[in-house]
Amino acid sequence: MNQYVVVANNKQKKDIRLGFLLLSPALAVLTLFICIPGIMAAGLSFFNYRLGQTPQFAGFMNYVYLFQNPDFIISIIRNLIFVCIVVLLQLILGLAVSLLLAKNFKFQKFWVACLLTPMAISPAVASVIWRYLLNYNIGPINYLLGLIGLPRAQWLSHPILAFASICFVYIWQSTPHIIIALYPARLTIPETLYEAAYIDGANSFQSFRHITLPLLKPVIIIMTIFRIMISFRNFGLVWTLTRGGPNNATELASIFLYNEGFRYWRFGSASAVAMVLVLITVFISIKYIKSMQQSTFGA
Amino acid sequence: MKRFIFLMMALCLITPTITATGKPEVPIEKPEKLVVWCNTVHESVTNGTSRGGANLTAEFEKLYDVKIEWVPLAWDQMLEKIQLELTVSQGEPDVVFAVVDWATPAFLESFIDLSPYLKKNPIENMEDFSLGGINAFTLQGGLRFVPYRSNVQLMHYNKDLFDMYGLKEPKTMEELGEAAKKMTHTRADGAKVYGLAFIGSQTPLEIIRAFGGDVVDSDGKYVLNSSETRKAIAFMKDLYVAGAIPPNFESLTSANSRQLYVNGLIGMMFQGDNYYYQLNDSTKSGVAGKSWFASIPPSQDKSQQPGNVKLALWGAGIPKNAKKNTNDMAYEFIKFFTSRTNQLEMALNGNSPSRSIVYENEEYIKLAPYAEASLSSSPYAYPLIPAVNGIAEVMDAALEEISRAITGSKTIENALSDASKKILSILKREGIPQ
Repeated sequence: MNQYVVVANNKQKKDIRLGFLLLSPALAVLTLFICIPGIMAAGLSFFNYRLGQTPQFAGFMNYVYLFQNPDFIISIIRNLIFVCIVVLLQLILGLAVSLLLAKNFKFQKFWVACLLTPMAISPAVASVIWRYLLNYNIGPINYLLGLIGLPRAQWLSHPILAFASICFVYIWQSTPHIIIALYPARLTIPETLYEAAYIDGANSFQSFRHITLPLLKPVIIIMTIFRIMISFRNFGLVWTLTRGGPNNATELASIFLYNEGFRYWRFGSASAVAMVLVLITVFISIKYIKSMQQSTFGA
Repeated sequence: MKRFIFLMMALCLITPTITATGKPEVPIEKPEKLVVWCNTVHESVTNGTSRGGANLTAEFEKLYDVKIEWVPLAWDQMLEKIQLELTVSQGEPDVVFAVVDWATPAFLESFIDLSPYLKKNPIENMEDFSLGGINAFTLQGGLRFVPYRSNVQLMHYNKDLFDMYGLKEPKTMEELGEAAKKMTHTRADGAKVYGLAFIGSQTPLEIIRAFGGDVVDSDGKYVLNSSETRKAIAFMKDLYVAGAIPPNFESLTSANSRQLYVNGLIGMMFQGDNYYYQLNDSTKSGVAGKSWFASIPPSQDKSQQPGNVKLALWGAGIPKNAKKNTNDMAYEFIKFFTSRTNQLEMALNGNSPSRSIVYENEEYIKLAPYAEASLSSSPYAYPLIPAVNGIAEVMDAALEEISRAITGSKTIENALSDASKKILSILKREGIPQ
């Protein structure tokens, strides 16, 4: 009996070793490019460090500076508003389009390809294209508005319009990410369920509420977590479109971080911003993951 | 003993062999190549590609038996790339070009003090360089960059528009404002033509200067809260309300404004003097042959003529983290390209010379009709922003509040009061006494 236990333990140990061996390349990459820079950034957030100068220990001063800086607080609030708007609209649009695509209609594959195109374009290229399209002086959108007798709009230079524009472009570019996850998930739902519901007298909305939504819920929650995390650290698109302007109206936390680090060269406080962003993202993600576990496996 | 004799014989054989290969008696480390981080124009004006003039890169390579590897960096990423490179233990560039606006003490600290080189192997006639530029590139008495290219800001204007509205070259900022309002109109094709290009990150500071104000002085003392600044902001607000400047000025860049100008959508704009060529290049400009220039005028309250203008000055320096064996050659590079002869050659290739004497050269004047205007403005030209630590943040705060005052989202008084609070706290944090 003991012999069997020893053999089983040895096999288990071997499996664990093999597991670690297979994981080691990924772990090495993660350690090198995520963990070590992360730890260094966390350490740097407790120092005053400017290029060419010796870092000086500052304790929590960088964090105190941040939380006393109204621009930072506003950028965090603005970022939360941005995330709420874009994630909500992406989900609604993504879900609607996925359900629509699941129906049978002509040129279905063509429309799927068209709808996924924005995701295939590099974010930098997409931003430059949109910056041109939305240009006040020479942009085609303003030109078209002029043709129908409407005044030109300051898409990227009016505080409210600029914020709306970055939300719009971001939603345009990232909604396909939702579609790509929800569309196949919707196709996996057996049609028999809908047929049974139809026979029982359920209407379309009831079918959606009691069949589609519960079965898509795990995917929706995962996509929500992904989109929150990705949207929260969105930088390139906003930087290319507005650089955080006009008058900081589109300055998200990532833009604030960039300015601290690479325009004002205060690496200590930039690292502190990064740490705050990580904490916020982790906090939101944990909440969502817990709710996903509860909904999938029960309390 | 046998071993000793063998060793001596071997030495006798080896020594003449080494001497015969031509190695110098005093070994001088000669690098194979010199890596130069620059902006595209710095390279093009040296190698004759700009206007088909002298190829100074080839000359230098031949003279010093070294290869120059020019690495042109995009303007909008240049500072960031350089700053990051300066943080590594051994950087790639042996020579770096920098604009005077970047020359904060923290930045200059990362570059070699050229004084010992200048003492040992002087650069001729240093008095040709603008004193303001030399001072801006000096840290603790040591020069870190030698001026290489200098751009004085001029007012470029569309002659056709001036003729159409019967306008004369403005001699004061107030006249300029009136001219801008008069020539603002909507073309027959529906396109709006603005009197004055207005770059949100630049023009407000230039106009404030023309009125005799500033944000901080060269020592970092806060001076924005002055009557001159109030007048300047009121002047700009007036232009904004009259629609004489593009309403999207906050997001308008220098390149955007040139694009509008060459399409005939702008009457006047402040740009570097040598943009004259580009604006009159028939292959790129719709207003070629119609674009002329004048000095940027001061406010009518100021007797000085012309007004204080922006000086964009580029210098070449040697990073402290450059390869040590390239330092001497890097200095030779700087000395070679900033000499009187080569500054003239480069000017004929399209460079804006950093030596004032070149502006008096007849050959150059023939090529650059703006030379006289540039020379007359140069005593009043200085970097747009003083090189003090924290200046980027100070300027952001100032411009944010100024643009709020211009657009009317704040009163001038409130905007200046908010700017004072922000800027003084930044300067205090940077330890700059007020």
